[in-house]
Amino acid sequence: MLIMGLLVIAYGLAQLQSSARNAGRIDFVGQTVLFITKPASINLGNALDGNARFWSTVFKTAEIRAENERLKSLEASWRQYQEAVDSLESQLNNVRRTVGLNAVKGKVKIAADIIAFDPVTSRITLSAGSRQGVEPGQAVVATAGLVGQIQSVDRNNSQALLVSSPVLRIGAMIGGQPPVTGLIRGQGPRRLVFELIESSRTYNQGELVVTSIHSERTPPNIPIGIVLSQEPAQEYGIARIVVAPTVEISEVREVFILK
Amino acid sequence: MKAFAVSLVTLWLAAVCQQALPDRLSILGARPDFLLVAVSCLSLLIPAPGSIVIGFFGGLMHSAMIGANLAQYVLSRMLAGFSASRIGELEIEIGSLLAAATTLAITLGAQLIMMFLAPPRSLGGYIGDTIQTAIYNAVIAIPLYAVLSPLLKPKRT
Repeated sequence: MLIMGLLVIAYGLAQLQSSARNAGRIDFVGQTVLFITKPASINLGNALDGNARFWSTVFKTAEIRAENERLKSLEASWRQYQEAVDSLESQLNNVRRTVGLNAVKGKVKIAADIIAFDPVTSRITLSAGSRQGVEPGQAVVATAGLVGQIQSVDRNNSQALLVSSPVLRIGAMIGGQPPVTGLIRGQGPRRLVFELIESSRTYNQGELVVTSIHSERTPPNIPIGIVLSQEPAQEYGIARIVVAPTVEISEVREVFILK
Repeated sequence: MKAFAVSLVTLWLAAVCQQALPDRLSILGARPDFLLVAVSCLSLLIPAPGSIVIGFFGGLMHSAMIGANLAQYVLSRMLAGFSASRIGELEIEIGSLLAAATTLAITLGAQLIMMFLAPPRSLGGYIGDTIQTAIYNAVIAIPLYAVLSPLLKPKRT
């Protein structure tokens, strides 16, 4: 009787979860569990990271000082380039507005911690929600490239599908002359498949795959992965390229959501 | 009442650890499943109806945190809790090592059920990850059972 009751409750909650997810929201149970566990887990994670950083500083002082100097000089040169890029993007947006097009999206970044990760369903939970301006469909990025796409949101948290998820399909592109575009999807934690219209062009190992210029929500030119190999075509006219993701999710703690 | 309070605190701590620690404690790609360890150790010490409820809440919390399919997690953890409590009811003295062996078997069993409920993309990778997690869970079960055992065992005699 008890088991039946629990199974009925589980079924009901699973239905609520599905309908909430389809509406781009996190269900009530998810919100409650995150509410009671998130503050403690974030503090615990920060304490552990702080401790690890402290001991690494103690034992590698000279290396960290040299690295710090190198990063400062890199930051100085990056600032110079960034000013030029900002100016050009501003001009581009002005031109787009003049001809009646929307401004390019993804310029505002929302910082968030990854507070849960499930490798089985290729899904992460983030510490930013609708209160910070997060919406379903927005891109999630780390320094190495695209992490995934927001799927459901509540006031303080959001959940995203990783690029390694077979459910998620993202417009992707390989640069060059001419650039080629297609759709990329996950086929395992460290393997993506990029499907595109076959052409005479060959794809070399190590070529960079980036987000497409044709997506309305995901900004263009964010690294997704690097080409590993080309598979024999399974459908006439469709080329399949195996890609390794640039982001190793188990090494990422903080991400940006592109608004 | 004591069993209820201990179970509640243990599950909450396991959920907090599940959010904060698996990636930080990952060894050669092996990641622990704290909630499953908690379900296994608690169920060894709490008889059947209670252990099923513990499994229910363990699965509920795990799926809710990551937004994964709730029914799959709840069902697999309820069966894990029930199986562990059956082992706990055997007329044998359960020490930390036996608790570790039980947790290893429970992890393999629960993930096997998950595999049938939600077939993975890569079977080989999934089985490899499951074996790694089972070994990791078994190691974590040793101290957890040693802590929980004095708190919950007297109630059962």
